[in-house]
Amino acid sequence: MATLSLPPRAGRWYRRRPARGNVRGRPGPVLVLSGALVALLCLIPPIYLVVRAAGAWDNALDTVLSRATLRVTWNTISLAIAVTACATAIALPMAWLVERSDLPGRRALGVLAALPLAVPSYVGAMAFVAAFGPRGLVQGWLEPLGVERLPSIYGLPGAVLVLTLFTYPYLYLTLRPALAASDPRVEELSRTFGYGRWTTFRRVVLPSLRPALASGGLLVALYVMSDFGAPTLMRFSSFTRVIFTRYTTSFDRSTAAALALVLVVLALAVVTLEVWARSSRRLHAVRDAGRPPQLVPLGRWRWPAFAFVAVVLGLALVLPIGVLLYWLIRGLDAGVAFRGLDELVADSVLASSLAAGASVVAALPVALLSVRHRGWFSRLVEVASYTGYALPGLVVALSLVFAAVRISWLYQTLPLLVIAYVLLFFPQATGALRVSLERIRPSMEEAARGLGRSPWSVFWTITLPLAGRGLLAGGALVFLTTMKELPATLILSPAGFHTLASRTWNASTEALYREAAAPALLLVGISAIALVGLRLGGTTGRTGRAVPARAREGGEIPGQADVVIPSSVQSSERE
Amino acid sequence: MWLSPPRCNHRNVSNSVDLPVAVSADGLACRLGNVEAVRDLTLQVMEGELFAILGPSGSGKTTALRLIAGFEAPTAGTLSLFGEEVASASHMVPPEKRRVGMVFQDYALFPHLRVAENVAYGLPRSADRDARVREVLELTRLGGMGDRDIHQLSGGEQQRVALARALAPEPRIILLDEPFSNLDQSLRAHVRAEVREILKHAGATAILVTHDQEEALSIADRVAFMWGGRVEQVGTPDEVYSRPATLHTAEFIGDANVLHLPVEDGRVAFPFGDLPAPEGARQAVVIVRPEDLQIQPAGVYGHVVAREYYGHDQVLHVRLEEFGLLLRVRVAAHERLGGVGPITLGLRVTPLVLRADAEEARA
Repeated sequence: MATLSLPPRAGRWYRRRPARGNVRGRPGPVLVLSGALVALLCLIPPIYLVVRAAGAWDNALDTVLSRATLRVTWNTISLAIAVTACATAIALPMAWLVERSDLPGRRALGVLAALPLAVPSYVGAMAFVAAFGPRGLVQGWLEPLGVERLPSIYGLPGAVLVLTLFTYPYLYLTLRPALAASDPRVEELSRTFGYGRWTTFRRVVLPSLRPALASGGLLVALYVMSDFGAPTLMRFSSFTRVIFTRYTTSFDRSTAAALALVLVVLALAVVTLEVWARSSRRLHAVRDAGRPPQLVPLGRWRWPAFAFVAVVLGLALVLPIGVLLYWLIRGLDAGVAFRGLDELVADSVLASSLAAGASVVAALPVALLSVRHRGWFSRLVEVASYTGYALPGLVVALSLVFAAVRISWLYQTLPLLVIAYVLLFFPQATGALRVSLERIRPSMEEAARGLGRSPWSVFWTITLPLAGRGLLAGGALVFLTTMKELPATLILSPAGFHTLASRTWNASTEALYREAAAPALLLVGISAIALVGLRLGGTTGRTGRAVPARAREGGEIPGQADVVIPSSVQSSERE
Repeated sequence: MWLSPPRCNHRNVSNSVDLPVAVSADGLACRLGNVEAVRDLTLQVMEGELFAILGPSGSGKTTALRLIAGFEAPTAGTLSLFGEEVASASHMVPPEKRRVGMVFQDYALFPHLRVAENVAYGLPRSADRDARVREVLELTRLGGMGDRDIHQLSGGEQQRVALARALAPEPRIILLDEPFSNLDQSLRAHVRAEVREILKHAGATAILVTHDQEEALSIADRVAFMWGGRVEQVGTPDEVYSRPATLHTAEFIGDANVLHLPVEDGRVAFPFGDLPAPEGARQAVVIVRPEDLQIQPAGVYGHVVAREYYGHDQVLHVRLEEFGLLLRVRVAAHERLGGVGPITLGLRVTPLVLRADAEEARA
């Protein structure tokens, strides 16, 4: 130990430190290799999509430039805009009421308001069709009163209604932490200048929410554009519905590829906006320790406000669950409710667990690179890793079909399905992991290095244990999302492999609600448990608690830092 | 087995030229992004010494510490620990091979490990590992706290855990980065004395980085003052305080009246008697500590224009009309309770004279 002779190249990794915050040296070769591998895997879908579309270039071009495509594009964009606007109109007041006002039962409502996220959009759409569609429940009740037919639930209005109700939580969940984290002193200051509550909200609070509004709104827009289930069930010709129809009915699948490419371009535009919005969202003032903002008394608006929240929750939670329960009971009466359910559960859990495990493994190098080794390479890997997440599930599934169709041992097998799930969802695990990695201050790792441990040993003894909850949360999140995934499951499932999602779908397209009810309810239940578990998991345990506690109390709102549903809630309050 | 460096038995070393050199930095420079954080850092720290690097924020003192620890690589210059080169522009010994202990400003304790596990982290697996942990915990007065969770500890205790963890593997040098800044003001003096005692008892060579002059002066054997990435002065606390070598040092350490005065015929026109000017200077800076001024019957006539009362003493703002100067004078609390009015002043010591142009050139 007295004389240290070291290989001269040891200095290479220390040569320079990039300008940004907590960056320490260059990544090791293992990290670089695994990061590159993950990035390459992620790029398979877009590459194959282009290859396939280019393979039949003339035909593809005709398809893309046709009048029909133009109409579909318009449909998709107007659906996205309408849903985003409606979701904002619901989420913004809801988040404010729950976070800042004396709304009756605001804590309970605050949790409930996020729960519609647990209702997959196709389940929600199915419930609405079953309730308000032709010969649906409501029509059945009204028929004795002489109502021959209800206004049609199908088309744009229905699609907007359904998608709004089940996507507004994305916005709600980004807005709430932003509202909770904003510094009450700034608002108090504004009041001392003589501005009233409303002016203060408009001029101080709202601007501080802009980043959250932007990224939450774009997230909703992205979801709407990529969603396959709800538009199809609501018989609204957005891209996903048209592509799926082309894929299943046409002999020439390259037109489906071409249309998918157009959708990809649309989605990329939204993602670009989202990334841009996220990069400018460092506006949050770091709240001083302890003091939460004062609650605004609603006065005589208290009960009307409550009614607003109640109506939204009634439509987004009570109605779908009520309809499903109704059909479950009908199914029980007929003895068909639980037919084959155990096999469905087994298949679903198998596929989802595999996807969760693989996703965590794929997410680890990406998260480590982006948190600990910022630079062009990490950025590249990170961007590449979001490809599948940004692409509609339908598109990823299609491109994997194109890629694997010649590889007979992979085509229509469980591994291919799991690969699709990983490509689609592992950035969620990256996000969760990143949040917990960012909490591990670099000084901890440096302290460990200083105590004589090699970088590898530091990783196993400090980084990984401290990131443990992030790994778990990330895995759980992927598990949850995979359970309800629909288009990839429909397209890539091996023969005879049926998940809860695919059974629900098949039964609902054929209006066999009695058989769809049980798997659909199960999906909602599993999702809800995972959602609540993730939200509440943040408050306990001795992990991740940094020292000294004083430095952190300001930033942490129990639970919220751990909900990593949208890709955009990743930037932590701590800088 | 941890190998200990030859222990140094000296206590309270003040002049340590006869001791082996623990840290030797020679022309170290370090760029962080676009910032020249450290330029031309040259200093020597002797074994067993408690050395403080003092400077305002952004002066490069933390980067200097990180260079020594091995968390940053120099862009120029060399760094040697106990005579062996550990860093230069082309060669870099990683931190884990330097045997340097570090106490971070935020302590960087591992929250998933208990106190004893934190302390044991840097120790190799061996039979006497637990004994060593106990020994270090005793040394840092944490005996019996080994099973505690990190967040059950107070700030002072967390700090001692960080110190214990750094001391456990018997590093050759302990580095402390603003170790007291996370503590309450009321605790600081006490913890400081405690830490000094622990370090001295362990015979450790320690380098402390701080922006708090009181901290540096009260705890260190020697102090280096950094400014703009350079070391401006190295000396004992007494030296840097009473004989600041540069304007920055004088201004930052302690309270000072900084007087820009003209030079005529090689002499500075100073109210309390002309002073010899530095060679060839056209303008000089004279530095007078407020406590070096006193009220005396036959002195320079001035006028008290304001008074800051501190309880144990007070500071008078005295205008010397004749010279167009405003001086801060620190006197005992009971003197001149009358407030504003005429006064006569005297000077206790010969003040320090610096070249003004040299300072301007530097700035």
